[in-house]
Amino acid sequence: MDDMSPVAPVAWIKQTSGADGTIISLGGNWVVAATAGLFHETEAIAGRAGESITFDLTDVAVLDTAGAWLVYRTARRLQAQGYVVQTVGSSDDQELMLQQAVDHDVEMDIEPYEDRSFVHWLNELGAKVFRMFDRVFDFLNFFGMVLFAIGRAIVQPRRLRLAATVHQIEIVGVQALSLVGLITFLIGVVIAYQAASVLSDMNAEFMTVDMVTFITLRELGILLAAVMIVGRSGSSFTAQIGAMVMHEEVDAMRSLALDPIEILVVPRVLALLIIMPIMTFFADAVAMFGAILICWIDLGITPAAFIERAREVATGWDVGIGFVKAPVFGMIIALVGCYEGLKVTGSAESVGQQTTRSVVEAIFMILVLDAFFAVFFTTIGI
Amino acid sequence: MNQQDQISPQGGQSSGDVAIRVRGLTTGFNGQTVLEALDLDVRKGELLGVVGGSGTGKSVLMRTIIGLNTLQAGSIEVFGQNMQGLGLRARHEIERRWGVLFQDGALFTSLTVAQNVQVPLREQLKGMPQQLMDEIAAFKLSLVGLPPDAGAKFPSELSGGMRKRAGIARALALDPEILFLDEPTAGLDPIGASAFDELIGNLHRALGLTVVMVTHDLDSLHAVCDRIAVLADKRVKLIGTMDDMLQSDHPWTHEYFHGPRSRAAGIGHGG
Repeated sequence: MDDMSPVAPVAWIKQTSGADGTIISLGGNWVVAATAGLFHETEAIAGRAGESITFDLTDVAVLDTAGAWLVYRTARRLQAQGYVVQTVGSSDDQELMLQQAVDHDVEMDIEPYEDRSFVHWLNELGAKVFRMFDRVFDFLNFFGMVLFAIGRAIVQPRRLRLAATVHQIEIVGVQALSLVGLITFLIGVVIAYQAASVLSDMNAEFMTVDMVTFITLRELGILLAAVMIVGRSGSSFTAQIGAMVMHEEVDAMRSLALDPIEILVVPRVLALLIIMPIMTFFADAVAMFGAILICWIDLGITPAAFIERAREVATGWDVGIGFVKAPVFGMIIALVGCYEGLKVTGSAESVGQQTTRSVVEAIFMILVLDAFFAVFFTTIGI
Repeated sequence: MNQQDQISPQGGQSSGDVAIRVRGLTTGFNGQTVLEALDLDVRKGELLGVVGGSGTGKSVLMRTIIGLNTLQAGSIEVFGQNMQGLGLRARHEIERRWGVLFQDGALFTSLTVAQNVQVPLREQLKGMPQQLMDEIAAFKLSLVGLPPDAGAKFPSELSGGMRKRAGIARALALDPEILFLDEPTAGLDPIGASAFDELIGNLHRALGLTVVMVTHDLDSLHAVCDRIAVLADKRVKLIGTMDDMLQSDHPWTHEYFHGPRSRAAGIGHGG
């Protein structure tokens, strides 16, 4: 009943000198599990000059392809060293296995060839720079197509996918409120707390209100909202559209004379254009609420006094800046998310890569643009 | 031979000749039964084709035997050992003795084709020298008919047929005794499909494999299968040679083996 249990990897090699040369007797189970142990033993086999070598397989119980390969490669090596090699005592099945090894003795690369030279590196660097420019132009082209599709939807309102847009607004906006609210509240608390601890050392606790108001309204609310929407919605745009590309749904749309930009991209862009200002207002309000609580508890500034002070220091433009930036950021998030999604190619790996790329690029573009806005608004004095 | 007294519906072979013995297998999903009280014997060294209409659970049966689906009732014996009663280690020992080809090859996309073949060698057999692994990978890839330049390519660079060949090479890496094939010729052109049938037949003969092949392809059934099992009504309705199939009066089986496609495949003798 030896066929009931797994083949035990017990195998051996014996080398003896006979009258007509060296005899190498093999025995036991020459199976794949035994080859690791046998490899070095077979490597050590050597003949004596001028004598022939005989492999005796009489005692081999089981020979599989890996075992046959090991016998064959040893014989091949000895033959290349000039010995006459022959095999005796193998059964018909074993003969068949050995023949397979002979028939399929091929040279094969395991990994693609990798050029590690300096010139190759330079070449790659150059190609990367060119690809980068290509991508920038490609993205601008995509931006143009989206603007065109939006313009067309304004001229011909029946082209506007209202249901899809409202659906996207619910997903990216309404369902994100709790997350954005929680995070901005906590950040509002942290900012107020840190500001209070520094400013109270200088007996300027009241300045906490000024600082929190400016930083929240001008930068923090919009940036936090934007970053969270990137992580939550930009990435999911890429993954959704990427999966559709992978399953040829986008190709199917094109073949039905439907415009994927009109169907997939425009509703998402419009949804974020509408949602981002609202989200910014919400983020500002919740962060301020967190700050008010801390000022009240920690510094004893009543909410009424806080609001009065805030209204003194903050102009309408401080609030307005956030609303100028919000649609721009929303547009970037949606554009980058959809663009990278449409760039997905066949493999599952590609969806992951594009999603990562979409998040990194969107956050990068938002922060760079935010710096431009800051310089711009300071220059024109608001 | 403790199972000798058990009566097999497929002709009463002793358990020594049977590689896989399925008894009373019941399985399904979401409260829906796909297979119910299914019996099947796969004999050692045979090439068994499993056919059936869409949704009859051909792939489910295969996945249940290899342990990817849980079974609700019944037993599966492989090499005389009841798979349900085994511990994890003993189970892995059995799993090492079969190879599986999934529908599109299921190669790991981040590894080259040759590295894919080396995965089982590297993970299951610790300490095999890299050189030997490289040689065995090349051997196996050549065995399944891939050209030498295929080894260093990534799966995405190969055609569907080549991916399936590479999938078989990986399944054969540990020299299994049983090979499971899930729709091996689906999605291949007729020339590629018949070349693949030939490959399966050759491997079956040359390596002495027991093969279980789920298929839709009448040409494959005709060309390489020793026996055919027909799945219908949640169980194996019929099992036997191609001649048995042609003589059957079971409605689906008759339709299947005497339809226009079977005539095209040269099976139905004008039905």
